[in-house]
Amino acid sequence: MMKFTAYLFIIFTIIISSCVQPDEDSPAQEELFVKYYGVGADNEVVGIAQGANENTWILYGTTFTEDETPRPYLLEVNNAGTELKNNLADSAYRKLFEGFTGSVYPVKVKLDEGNEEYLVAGYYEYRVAGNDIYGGFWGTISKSDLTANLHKIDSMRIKDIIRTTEADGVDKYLLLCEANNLYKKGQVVPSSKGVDIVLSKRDMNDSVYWEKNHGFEGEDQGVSIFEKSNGHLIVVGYTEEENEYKGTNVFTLETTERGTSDLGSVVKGVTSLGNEGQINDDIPYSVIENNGSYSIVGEINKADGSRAGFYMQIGADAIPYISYELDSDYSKDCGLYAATLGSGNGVVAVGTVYDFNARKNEGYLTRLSATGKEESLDQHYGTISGNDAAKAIITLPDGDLLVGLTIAFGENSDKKMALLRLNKNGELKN
Amino acid sequence: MRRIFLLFIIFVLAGSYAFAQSCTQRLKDAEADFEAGKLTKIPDQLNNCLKTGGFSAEEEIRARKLLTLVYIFMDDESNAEDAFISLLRKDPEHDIDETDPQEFKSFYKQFQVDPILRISGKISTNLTNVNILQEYSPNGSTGDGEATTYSYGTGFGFEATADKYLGKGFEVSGGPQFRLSHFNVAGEVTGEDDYAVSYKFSMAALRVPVMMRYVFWAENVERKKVLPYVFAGLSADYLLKAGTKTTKRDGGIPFSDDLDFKKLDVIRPWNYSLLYGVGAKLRVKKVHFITFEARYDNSRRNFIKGNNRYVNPEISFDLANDPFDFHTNHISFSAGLNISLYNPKRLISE
Repeated sequence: MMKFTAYLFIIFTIIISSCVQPDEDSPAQEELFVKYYGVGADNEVVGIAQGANENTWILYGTTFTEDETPRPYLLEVNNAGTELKNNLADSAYRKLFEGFTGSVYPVKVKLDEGNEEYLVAGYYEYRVAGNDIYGGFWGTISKSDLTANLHKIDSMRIKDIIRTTEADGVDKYLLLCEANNLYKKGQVVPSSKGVDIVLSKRDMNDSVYWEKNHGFEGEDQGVSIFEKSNGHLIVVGYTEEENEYKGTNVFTLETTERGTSDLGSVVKGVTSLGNEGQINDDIPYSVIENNGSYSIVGEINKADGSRAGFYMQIGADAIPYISYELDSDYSKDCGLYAATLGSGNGVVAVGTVYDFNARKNEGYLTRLSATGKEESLDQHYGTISGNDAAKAIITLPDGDLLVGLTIAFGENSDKKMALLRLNKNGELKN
Repeated sequence: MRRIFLLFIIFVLAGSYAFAQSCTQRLKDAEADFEAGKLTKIPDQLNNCLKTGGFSAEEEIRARKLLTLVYIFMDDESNAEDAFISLLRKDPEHDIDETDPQEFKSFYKQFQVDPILRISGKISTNLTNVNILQEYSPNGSTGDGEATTYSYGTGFGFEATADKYLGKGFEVSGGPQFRLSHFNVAGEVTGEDDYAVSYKFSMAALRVPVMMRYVFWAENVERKKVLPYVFAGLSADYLLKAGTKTTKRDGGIPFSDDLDFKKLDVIRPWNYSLLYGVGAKLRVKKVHFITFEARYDNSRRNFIKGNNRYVNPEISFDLANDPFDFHTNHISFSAGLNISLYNPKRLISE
């Protein structure tokens, strides 16, 4: 009996020792992650894009150098969120801004699939003799080594960039800009109507093919530009044009391939929930193509100081046909800054939910459709110590979501860029 | 009055001494009678002194053994059994002399002489090392940052066990243990010193280790003073509490809240461990021991609930440190007291 018990115990121990339980419920790092990036104390996310292959991504943002001036920061990460390389030491950038002491803000990054490049755009600002001077930068960044080919434009902030379809084999780029100059027949004159949206078509030799102003009295600013299959252009921005909606409203237009707006434009406001009589500012922040139409997300800044996200959908003719104000699951003010098509037919949008109890502003994710927001699926992310915001999102081939957040570890500066790989519902779990 | 009291004390002491002297003499007489084959008077000679406690401890053992022998030779099985059980109660694991009659040796084998159980109480200190199965560093940058480091922490424990001897040196041992342990973690959020994270990860566990022990010289008739042993076993472990202590995330507004991983549902409360070790029993008072032991414990399940790794903003964002998959290894050193419990009884009736 003694021997039997001893042998049984030894055999049992050997069996147990040889079978370590696998972690069935432990997702691999390629399935979920939270990663932080940044140089110095202050970094902000601008955008994310698919990388050189399906397992890499590009994160674009702003970092503040040692002399406190902002500058673009582009880095490539693998599918576990680990940085592979960045272009902080890029010589083209240094050459372009050599001796420049002002601020340089990146605005847009996107993958140019046909050219093995990323398209980037942004603007710079500086102050001379009490005057604010600004201009734009645009260019391409090589997929393979992140080296840049950058160009500057005076007096125009660049908000978006696309490479147009051309028959002559010469790459040309359409820049969505804003400026308070009028560009007519090669002549530039100051505008008396405030800031306008300006379309500028150029190539890598800085040849200007055409430049066109769009807008009204007051401030008109661009957000996104798209080229349709027939070469026409869809432009989304916002304007202070006085009309039935009052305040600042969404401005959409379709132009010909040469940027003339003879195809019409629309200024549209979002009907606010519960306070229809208020004068609100409806600011669009992101536009995505959505099965032949375009989905716009943004933020309503209300006269009473409250804020809410909004969703608007425009057709292929740039005419809005759906718009609604967002009511977050958390019954808090919110704003939407970026969107992507989810794995279903809906749109997944990210932004900020304001004053989230003790956690201050939190990064926010919600799911939208043409008929309204999907309830009880909102998500929030961020620290208790600062104001966090989700600024970018893309859908991965498997339906997962990749979200770029600015995470604040402190009150004002002390911000890091964060990349979150979420499941298709926006959750940090399988 | 005082004088009367002193006289009373002297009288009592003198009486006791005289009675003791008398019992010692009676035992000698009884042993002489036994040698002479005069058995019938012996029980009466000894029982009075046994009842009144007139023997010294050594004499009582001699007296009870003599009574057992007398009853065996008188074929009085019932009284022999009672006398022998009384002997074993007074002198557990009573040793047989080579000169003892064969009848006594045969009779001896019919009884449960060995302890039915040994119970131990131990206190221990431990060193805990974390065995990383998979890192999930929040640091996405590959710049100048240093890798997350993990280092030993110290803790303590206490344990109660029951040991059952199986024979031929093997014994099985098991019982509840409380163990408090921790290890240290230090890392960086983005590869910069000023955004650093550090904490102690503390685990309070209730465990039930069960082990098989081989004791050298366990059946050696010389009753060696030191009995070395080796053991191996398994333990079911339940975490009462687990989480960060002395938590610190620098950079921005420092975060210093200690996080309860069990409350946040990030940690699996149940685990099991393999354990191995060596030890020694130092004999005290013939059948009891002081034990010294070195033990290696190795938990086998990943402690982290992987699907809940990122669901708590306190961990992923405020602390900015992703829970990593891990086992733990513990080296502990303990000291304890091992007490033998007996229930002498006849196992075989002829």
